Amino acid sequence: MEKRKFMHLPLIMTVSFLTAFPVLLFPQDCLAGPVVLTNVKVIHASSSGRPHLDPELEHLAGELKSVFKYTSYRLLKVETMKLPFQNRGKVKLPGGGNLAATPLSGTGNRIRYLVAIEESGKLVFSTEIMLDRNRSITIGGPRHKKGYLLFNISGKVL
Amino acid sequence: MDIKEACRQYDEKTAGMFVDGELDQKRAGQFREHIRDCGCCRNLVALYSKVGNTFASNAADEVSFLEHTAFRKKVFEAVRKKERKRVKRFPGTSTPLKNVLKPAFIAAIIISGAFLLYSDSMPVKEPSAIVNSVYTDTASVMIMETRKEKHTIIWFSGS
Repeated sequence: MEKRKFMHLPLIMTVSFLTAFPVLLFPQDCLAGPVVLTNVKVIHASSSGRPHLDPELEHLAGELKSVFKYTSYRLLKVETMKLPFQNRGKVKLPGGGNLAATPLSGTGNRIRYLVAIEESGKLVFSTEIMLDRNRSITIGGPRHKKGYLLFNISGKVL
Repeated sequence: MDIKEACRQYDEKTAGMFVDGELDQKRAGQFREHIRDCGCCRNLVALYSKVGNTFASNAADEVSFLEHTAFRKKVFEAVRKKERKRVKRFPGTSTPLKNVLKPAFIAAIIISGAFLLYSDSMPVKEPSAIVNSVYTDTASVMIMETRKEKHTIIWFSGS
């Protein structure tokens, strides 16, 4: 009778271990709340030189061209960050500045973001936006090599 | 009770044949004479006659019931035939309405499914981002929205 009682013990222990293993291995991923996959594309837009369009920007450029007169769109950098809510992700910008994106909260189909741009340690621009989970926003303005820098930001809650 | 115990002259069969009119005239006359004095045979004749009448009456009812059932069946069949003929048709055509509605229903389901699947590629109504607040120390800020996909763009002019 006693033997029968503990018959399933090895099985229970194995299942428990396999369940607990990922938590032990990746405690932050398993125990933390939702993570926001934040994607930042740094684009150089200019009208100097030959017309150019990076294939990765094809879809976005269609939209940008309807507003801007630039003939060249080059993808300088892509940064994808897994950010828990309220955690800031930093992207180093060409020219020495920084872009910081912080997912603040998720409401309905949108993610509330705080985006800040620093140049030489000084905040030059910041905005709070409600970004559609399946779409993106483009922020532009800083001058860079006969053109301007554009930052295309998108987010997805994992 | 055995009724023939009291009459030794005639048996039940003769009484039955008399009631059914199967006796010849002579024998029938003799039997008629006999039943005037024989209560047993008279009762028996009365009983057989009653049974015969009841049977005849029931048989008539039965026949009438059978005829009625057959008639009803015929009427029902005729009505059904008419109903079959009275199929609703698509206005202006000879196509039965259900033949049109069925494919239309299937098409509606397919279109709805396709709409849900490719809703991302459908024109959007809301901006990709709603700008709650902006801070900048530069000269100006512009918030734009592309016409096609309502992609939100914030532009700040460099200092």
